[in-house]
Amino acid sequence: WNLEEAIDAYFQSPSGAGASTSALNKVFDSYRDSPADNPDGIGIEGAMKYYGDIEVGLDEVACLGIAELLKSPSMGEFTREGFLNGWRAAGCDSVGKMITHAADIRERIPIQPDLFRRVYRFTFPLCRMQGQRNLQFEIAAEQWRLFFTPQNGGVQWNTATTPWLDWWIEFLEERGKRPVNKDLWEQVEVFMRKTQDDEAFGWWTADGAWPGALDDFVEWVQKKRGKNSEAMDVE
Amino acid sequence: MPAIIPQTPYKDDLDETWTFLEKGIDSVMLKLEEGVDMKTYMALYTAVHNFCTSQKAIGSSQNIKAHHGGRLPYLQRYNIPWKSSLTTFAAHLLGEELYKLLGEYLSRHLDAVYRESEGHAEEALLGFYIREWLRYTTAAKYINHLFRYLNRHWVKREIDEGKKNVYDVYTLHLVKWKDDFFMKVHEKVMEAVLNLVEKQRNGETIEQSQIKSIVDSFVSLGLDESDSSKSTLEVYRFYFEKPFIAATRVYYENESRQFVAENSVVEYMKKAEARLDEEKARVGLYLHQDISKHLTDTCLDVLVTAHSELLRDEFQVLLDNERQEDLARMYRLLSRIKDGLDPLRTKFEAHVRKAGLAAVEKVAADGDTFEPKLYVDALLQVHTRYQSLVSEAFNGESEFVRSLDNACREFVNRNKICKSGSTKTPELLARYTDSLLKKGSKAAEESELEEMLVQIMTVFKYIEDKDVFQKFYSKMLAKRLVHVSSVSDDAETSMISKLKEACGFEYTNKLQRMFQDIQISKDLNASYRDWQEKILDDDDRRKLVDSHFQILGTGFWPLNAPSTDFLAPPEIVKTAERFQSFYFDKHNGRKLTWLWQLCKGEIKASYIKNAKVPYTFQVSTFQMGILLLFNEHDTLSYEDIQKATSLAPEILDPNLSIFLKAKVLTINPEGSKPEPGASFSLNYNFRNKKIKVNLNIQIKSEQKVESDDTHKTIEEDRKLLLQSAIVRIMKSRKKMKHVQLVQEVIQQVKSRFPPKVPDIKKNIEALMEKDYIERLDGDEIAYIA
Repeated sequence: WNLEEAIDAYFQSPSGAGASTSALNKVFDSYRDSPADNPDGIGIEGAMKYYGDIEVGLDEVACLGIAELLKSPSMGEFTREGFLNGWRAAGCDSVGKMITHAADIRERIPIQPDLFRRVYRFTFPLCRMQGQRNLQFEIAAEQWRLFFTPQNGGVQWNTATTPWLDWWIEFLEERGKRPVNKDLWEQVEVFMRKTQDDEAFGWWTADGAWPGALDDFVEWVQKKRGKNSEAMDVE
Repeated sequence: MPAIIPQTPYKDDLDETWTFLEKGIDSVMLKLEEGVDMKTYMALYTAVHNFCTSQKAIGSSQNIKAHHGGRLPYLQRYNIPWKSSLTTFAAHLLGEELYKLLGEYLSRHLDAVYRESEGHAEEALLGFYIREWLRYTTAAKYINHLFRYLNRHWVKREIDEGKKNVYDVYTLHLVKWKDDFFMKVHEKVMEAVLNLVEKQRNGETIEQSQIKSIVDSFVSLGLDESDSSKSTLEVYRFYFEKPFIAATRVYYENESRQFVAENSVVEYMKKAEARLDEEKARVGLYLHQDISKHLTDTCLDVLVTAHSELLRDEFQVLLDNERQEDLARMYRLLSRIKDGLDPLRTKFEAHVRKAGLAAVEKVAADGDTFEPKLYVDALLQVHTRYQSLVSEAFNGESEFVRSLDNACREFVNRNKICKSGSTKTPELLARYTDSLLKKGSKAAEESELEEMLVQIMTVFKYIEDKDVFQKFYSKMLAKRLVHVSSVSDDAETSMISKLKEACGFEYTNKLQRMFQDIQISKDLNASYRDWQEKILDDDDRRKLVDSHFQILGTGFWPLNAPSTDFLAPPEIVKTAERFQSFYFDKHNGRKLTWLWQLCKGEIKASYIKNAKVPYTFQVSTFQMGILLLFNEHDTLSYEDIQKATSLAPEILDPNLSIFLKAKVLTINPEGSKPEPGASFSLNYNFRNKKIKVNLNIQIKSEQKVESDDTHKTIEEDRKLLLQSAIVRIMKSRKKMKHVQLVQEVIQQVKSRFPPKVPDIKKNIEALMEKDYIERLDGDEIAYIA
């Protein structure tokens, strides 16, 4: 339990604390796909409708933000426990309040690194195929494009001098689109922040703790930059 | 001897007393050789005593008299500490006048001495100084005795009260000598001393005792201002040592500059060493020990440090020409100055490395087909040559040993022959070891063999990829054991124990187990023969095949199941099955895999015409399978043979070729190769010079495949080794920084091979994926229980 987060939630939420559990239960119940078979779960169809009702698009980072808030066990699924805990903490007990809160999350994700990281890391287990340890390359690449561009509520990784995101994906494609493990997934985000601080890799050393793929990427970028600057010299 | 009995002067009269005393002192000072008779001596002593104890008060002593009736001696007699009893009175003991007059007398005397000294110079001056000094100090001892009473009372009290410039009478003499004579002549005296020393340095003979006396005199003049009973070396240091050192510096600066200009560096080193020894001896001969360090430092500074660049520049030349004696001299000289050897070590290391690389280059010049022995010998020769240089010329100094080790490690692991990778040296070293331990090696003498094994360990010590050596060694050991081709069990054991000593139990564990398996198999065969005796019937006995079995534990032996199918001939199958039933009886539940590719045997060829004694063929089991088919047929097609033996063509074909080449079989059509369509016939006219014919020859392609396999398993094993090291470390540390973990892994693994950081990182990631460890914030790694 994070005090700061809770206080944050308290002041961010328009109605303040004290969301009504019974009201939340009512909202939850109304989205269940099959109340008989699965009384405490919302399935894919209900979830789509719910996202629509709280005005969150399925192709934006905020959607993952809500999944993180409500601790979705997998993409397009909610549990009653997660749903209640999440919204209670946010102090929302009506669809109207949820719309406001979702909008707030949408706004905060790109500007609050802690929140961004929480949502980003939660995405790894969320998007994993059932029974798999790692994230398939295609899914990972898609999520990176979502998280690391501003169009759908992520942060901008590409810069004027270095198309970081494009290069990262190009690099991984060159290496054979291997599945992405949890460590690499998490470290890419740390790496992204570092490159934002210093694009010249002043923080990087060969015997640092970065996963091997990122070490290789650094080398790849340096080579690529070397070539580009040579090319520019020729011009 | 004057017979006049001297009249003791009136005790209260200073003038009278002094006049009396001066006469006596004068004769002690100037005519001591004439002697002073006892009575005169006693009279003088008494005069001093009387004067000091006279009741006549002078000046302030009046006060004391008034109160004490001048009975101070009374106090003295009763041994009452007068100081405490006189707390309220100014103490006054008589004697100040005498002391002053004595001082004036000494000044007058010394003034005369000085004036006389002006007529002398150089050695004559030294003689004069020493003579006068001797006379003066001898007299001083007597006069000091005459003035004992003054010393004991007046002087003692003055000193106790902290008066400066009051000394006991003997010391007063020294002070006066120093102030009134020494200060005027010391420069001239030192000049004479230094000229004398220079003469000696130039090779002339001098009277050393003169200098020694001067030194003694200078030392005597050192008085501790705060406690005159103690002496210091200050006067000596300032007036003797300082000019002496300065003169030494100038002398050797000039000499060495000139010598270097006219002579070779080698000659100069001899000169410098001789000079250093000489100066050291000089201290013992006539200088004060105190100068020793200072003098040596000065000489080293001028003779060695100032020319150290020149010496070092010569180092390479000496190395190139193997001038061991001169190198030793250079080492001795430069080892005595600060940081003198560091540049030499660097040069030495580079030189050894170059020599090693050159030696390897020579071996490599003949292509890839050199004998492993040639290569190992080349490495050893360089090591031996420079190891002996280090111990002979460089005193076996540990830093040079380290430089040697560094250089050797470099050229052993990275040279022309290991260009493709550092695994070449361990492989070749293992091959060379095999050639020594295999039967038929040339090292006949056991002690000689042992010596060579020791040398192998020398190279082994430098090998970075020790795991590669282990792999190849165990493969070859397996072969020697399986083929019973070891030169001796003792030599094998000796080698294994050497490796164990160098790398620990784990390194040789499997080797030892292999060795044990062979020993156990020997016993097993014996009990198998006993068992066989009991169960065989006569028919069995007639068809019995003489057999020997070796049971090799899976996991210890670097052996694989055969790569080809094989239908063993019925005779062999029967034997094998009989053994199996015996074995399973003994060890229920074990599994036996027959390694046909390693089996061999002998068969008798009784079909051959014109042979008085039947030939014996030494063959592999595969070959046996082929040949035994001809018991039933004279001619067989390729297909028949293949079907009957099930052997894969890559095994069958070369073996048939061996038979053809040896003319055991003939082929039809003639001159063709073993392949489908050909047929083979038994050659009844086989001939050979030897009765025993060895047909079991290793096929070349097998050798190559084996070596490639070995390299592949090395990569796999390294991965395992890294991962188990990581898990082991994390299990005990629980949490650890990534960088530290990498360092620790390197520490643990480097005795086997030098790990690369990216490889370690890769294995850390692999273990993260397997959920053995996880990454925490701040690049910390945690163990997951």
